[in-house]
Amino acid sequence: MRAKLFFGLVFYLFVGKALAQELRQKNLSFETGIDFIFSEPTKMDFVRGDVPSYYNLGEATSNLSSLQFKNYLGIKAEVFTLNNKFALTGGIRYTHLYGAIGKQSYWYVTTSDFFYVLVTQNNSNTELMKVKEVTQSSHYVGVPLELKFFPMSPHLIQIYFKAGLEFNFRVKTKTDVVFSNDDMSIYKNKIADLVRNPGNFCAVANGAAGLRIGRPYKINFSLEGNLPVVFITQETTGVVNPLSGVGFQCNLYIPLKKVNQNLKN
Amino acid sequence: MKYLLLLPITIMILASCSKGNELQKSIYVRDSKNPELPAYSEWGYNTFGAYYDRQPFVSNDYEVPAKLIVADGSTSFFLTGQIGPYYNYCDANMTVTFILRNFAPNLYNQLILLNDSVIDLKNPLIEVKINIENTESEVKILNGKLEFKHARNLIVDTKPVGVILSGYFEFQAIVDTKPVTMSDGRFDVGVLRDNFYVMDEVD
Repeated sequence: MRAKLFFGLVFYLFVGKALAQELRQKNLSFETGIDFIFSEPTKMDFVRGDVPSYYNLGEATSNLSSLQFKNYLGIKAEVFTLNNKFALTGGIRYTHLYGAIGKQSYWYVTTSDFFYVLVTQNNSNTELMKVKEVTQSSHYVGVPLELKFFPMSPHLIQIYFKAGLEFNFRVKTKTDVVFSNDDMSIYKNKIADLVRNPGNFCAVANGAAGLRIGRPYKINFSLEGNLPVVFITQETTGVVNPLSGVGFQCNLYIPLKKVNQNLKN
Repeated sequence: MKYLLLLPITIMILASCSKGNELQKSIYVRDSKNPELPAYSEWGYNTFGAYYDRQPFVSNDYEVPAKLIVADGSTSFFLTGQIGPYYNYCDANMTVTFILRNFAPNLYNQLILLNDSVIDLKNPLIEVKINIENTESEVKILNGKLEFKHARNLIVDTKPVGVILSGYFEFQAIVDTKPVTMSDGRFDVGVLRDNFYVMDEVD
C-alpha cells in the first residue's frame, strides 16, 4: 500500500496532468543574495574579558560582540516538473563569509572600546595587546541544490516555497586585526596566527519563501526570503561561531529552450 | 553592503564615550569545583577567594581587591572583599593582611622577586591580620602558607604597566580565641601604580 502511494506521489510530481507533448520548463538562473547570521564569539582563551562578578557568566569572552554575514553569487540550472509544480535547481556558487568580533561597548558605556589579547606569557612576562576588532573573511566555492514548490498554477506573479542545501569548500581565509594603538599593527600576524580558521568544508541548509515575476518560458525574476539559514557543519566556526540566520536572494531566470507558441497556449 | 553592515559596530564603538582602566577591573570566572570561589587564573583578573571556615571570602566589584603598602621595611599585602557569596553585596566586608617583614620593594616591578616563592606563615617575620566589619582580630597562626606561584611583569602594547601576582594561600589560626581555617585560597591580582604604595619612613 505504501509503495503504491509513493509511486503515485512521484508520478503526480513529475508527470501530473501534463500532456505528453508539453515541453519541460528549463532555465538558466543568475543568483545573488545575502544572509545575516546570528552568531557568538568563539571561546578564545587568549582574550582577556571583562565579566562583572554579578553576571556569573563564567567566560572571559562574554563581553565581546560578534557580527557575521555571508553574501554570494552564482549560476544555476533550473528544471521544472511537467506540471510546473516543482523545480529542481543546482549550480555553482561563490560565497564570501565575513565574521568580526569587537568589544560590546554599546550597553556598557563605562568600558573601553578594546579588549586585551594575550600574545605571550612566560615565566617572567605576561604580554597583552589592546585590540579593537578582529575580522575574518573566508571565500568558498560551493554547490547549491534547491527544491522549489509552486502551490498555484502559473501566473505572472507566483508564490513559491523552497528548501535548499549548499556544500561549500573553503578556498581562502584572511584574518585582519584593528589595534587600539596603530603602532602595534606590525604584530598583526602574531595575533592572526592565534585565531582559528574555519574548516575546509561548510554545509548550510535553508528554507525560503519567494515571489516569482514573469510568464513561463520567458525571462523571470524572483525575490525570496531565507528563513531560517542553518549551518549544519560545526567546522564553519572561525573567529565567530554561526548559529542561524535570515536573508534574501534575488534570481534572474533566462529560459533555455523556446517553446512552440501552440504548446504554450 | 559590507560597510553598511559595519555601521552598527561603528556606532557601538563611538558610543563608548568613557574609557576606564580595564586592567583595574575584576573578571570573575567561576571555579567549576568550588562555584562560590573564582577559578585560579594568572591573567591579573583581580579576584581572590578562599573558604573562611565554611563561608566564602571573596573579592567583589566595589572594593579594590589587592593593595600593597611598603612601610618601615615591610610589605603589607591586603586582600579586601567580603564574607559570603560574591553576588550578595549585603555581606560583611573583610580584609586579610599578610605582612612580610624584611621585604621592601621601592617600585612595583620589584615584586617579581616574589616569583615562585612559598612563605611559611609560621615564620616570625610574617604577620597575618584579619579585619571584619572594621573590627580587627588577634590572629595566632598555627600553620599555613602564602605561595606566590607566579609574579610576572605585565606588559601592554610593549610597555610595562605593572606586575601580576597569582598564587595560593591557606592557614589555620586562633582568631580571638576561636579556631579558624582559611582553605582553598587563591588570588590573581594586578599591581599597578594605583594600588602600590610606598610610605615615607618616619624619622
